[in-house]
Amino acid sequence: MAEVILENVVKSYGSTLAVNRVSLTIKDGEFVTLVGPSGCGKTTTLNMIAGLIELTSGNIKIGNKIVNDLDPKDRDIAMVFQNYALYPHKTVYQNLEFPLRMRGVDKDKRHAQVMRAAEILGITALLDRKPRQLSGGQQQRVAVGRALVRDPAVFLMDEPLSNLDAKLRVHMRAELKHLQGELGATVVYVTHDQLEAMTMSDKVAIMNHGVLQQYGTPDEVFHKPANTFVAGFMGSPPMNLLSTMIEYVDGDPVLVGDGALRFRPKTPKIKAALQNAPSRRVILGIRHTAIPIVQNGAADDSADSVPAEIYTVEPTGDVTFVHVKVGEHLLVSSTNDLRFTGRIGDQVGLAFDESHIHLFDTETTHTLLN
Amino acid sequence: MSAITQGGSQAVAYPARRFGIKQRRALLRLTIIYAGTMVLALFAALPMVWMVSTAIKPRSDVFREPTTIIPTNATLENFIRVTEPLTPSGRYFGTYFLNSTIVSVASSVFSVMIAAPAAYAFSRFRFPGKQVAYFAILARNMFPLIVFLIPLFTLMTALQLVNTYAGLIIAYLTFTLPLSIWLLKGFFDGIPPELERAARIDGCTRFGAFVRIILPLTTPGLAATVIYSFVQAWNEFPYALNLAYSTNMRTLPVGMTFFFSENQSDWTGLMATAVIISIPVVIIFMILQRYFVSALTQGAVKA
Ligand SMILES: Nc1ncnc2c1ncn2[C@@H]1O[C@H](COP(=O)(O)OP(=O)(O)O)[C@@H](O)[C@H]1O
Ligand SMILES: [Mg+2]
Repeated sequence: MAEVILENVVKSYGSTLAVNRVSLTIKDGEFVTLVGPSGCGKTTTLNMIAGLIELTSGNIKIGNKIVNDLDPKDRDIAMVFQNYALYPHKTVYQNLEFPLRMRGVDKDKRHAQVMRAAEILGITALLDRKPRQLSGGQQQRVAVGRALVRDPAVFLMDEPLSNLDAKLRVHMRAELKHLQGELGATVVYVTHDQLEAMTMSDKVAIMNHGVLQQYGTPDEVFHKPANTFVAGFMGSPPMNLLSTMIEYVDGDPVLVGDGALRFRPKTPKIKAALQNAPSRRVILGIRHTAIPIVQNGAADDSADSVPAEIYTVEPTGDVTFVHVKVGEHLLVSSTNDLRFTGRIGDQVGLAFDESHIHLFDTETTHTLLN
Repeated sequence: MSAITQGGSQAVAYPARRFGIKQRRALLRLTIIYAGTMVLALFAALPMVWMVSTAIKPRSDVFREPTTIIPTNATLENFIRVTEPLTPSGRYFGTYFLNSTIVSVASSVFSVMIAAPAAYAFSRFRFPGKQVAYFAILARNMFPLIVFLIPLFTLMTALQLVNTYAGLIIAYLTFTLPLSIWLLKGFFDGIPPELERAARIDGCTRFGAFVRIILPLTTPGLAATVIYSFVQAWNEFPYALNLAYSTNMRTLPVGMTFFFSENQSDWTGLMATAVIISIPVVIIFMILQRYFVSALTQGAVKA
């Protein structure tokens, strides 16, 4: 097992920067996920760690050694591909054995290691089959098996679950995470699915347009997003982002949006952030959980509740998402009240939970808090 | 694969009694298909039947009326006459056969050996001039062979390769390579690049991944390349006639025409030679076709 360090890694294809100055430290035994929309440079980054693509500039270190010019085979890594990349002309056994064979492991030891990996993944019964005789889930297991058969320093996985159906995906998510914990493996995992990133990772690296947006624990990136991109990407439904103006009433800052949207913070920290804001225009970010619906009449702290009109209602069983309109703003709120009876067009109140709001600079999109 | 066999067995397994409209229509369709196929097969087979039939007739029976397809007194005498080293008609047969074998085997071996890496490069790598080079290769097949005969002859004369194996092999490569490269590129394009990436991570060099993972998946393409190059070289006439004309360098097709002009009326001998020439082609087809079909039905590269 080993630490992986990326220092100002750049990959350009002609004039396009697929990966732009990415720096990351992946500690020994950590499960780190690269997440971001399609085309943001995740696969390119992973392939550079693997040695399948050359860096344009920067350094990659594995276990404190610069590996920029090392062949993939000399980096002590294993990789699981999105399409599994099982060798179609080899049996499952031969697929698992191949990395050991290529490294000159002797026959008895190969057999022992193949059987161990097969047992861990529960594919012992499939060893004589060819990949085309396996279901998608089984192929996926074999692909993981081929990676862990030789105990590499780092596991690289490129969307390994995205070709599975939803139910199997949830199951394999838990299984992979469990396996990683048991083996104490260092894993760099790529996905475009923020939920996968949140649930599996020790740390999440969010990328967009080849640029690393934020690197932190799932808790950090969810509760303290560094910019509007992270705020909008992590979490479902995404965080509400509203364009507002700072106005001053009796010397105190008040955020004014469209329609009746007014929000007067009380916390000194938020007040200070607004007073120090470089421009009067700021983006107010707030998740659905922090603007619960207060039904008409039931609003007790009515001073702070913002009047809104129901746009649509989405019950999901335990939570009901309520899309509401405040002036021109369309936001998502929610309620846990199972007897919620609001209908399209109803007037409701929204309570702003001040301890959970976010403020971003309109120009740079960076957070204005901390 | 299973879908095809199932469909096929259903089509034959119609119950004998109670033909509904649907069954009757299906039967009619089958009849038309089979009848059409048989006409085509007959069209292709008849000249060959005639060739074999004439080859095993005694010389005196060739023009006998009424013509028979199955000879009444079949003989192998013609085969002996045209191959017997001590007779005037058969003395060069061994030389011609050897020449043809050397040139054809070398052409097909070099075709595969050169076309496979070249096609792989065209499929996987970006390099300056790639489009132009690929077009230039394909452009070769837009012209009839004969157009290049005179330039090739001039070239071979300058290189002093006229009447050598090398000269003829190189000339043959000019038309077997373009098709082989094009064909193999198609196969490589169909293999997901992740397979060789996986192999490189599993411990192969780039070349090792090509040899251990990619080439085995390309077996049908390689077999097709071998068949095509061998058959083309084996049957080729105009290049052989002009680039290897000396008596000891002639290939079988060229030798056969000389045989015919020297032994004007020997139709049975000519047909016997033709039969012998066809045999290696049939054999190589039978051997490689098995690979071909099995590799195709396996759906080897479905990832
Ligand atoms: N071989 C290549 N040539 C040119 N552009 C490429 C190449 N590979 C990737 N790119 C570009 O780099 C960007 C990042 O691609 P990729 O890393 O595959 O994204 P992701 O895996 O996050 O979806 C994309 O805009 C893609 O078009
Ligand atoms: Mg990708």
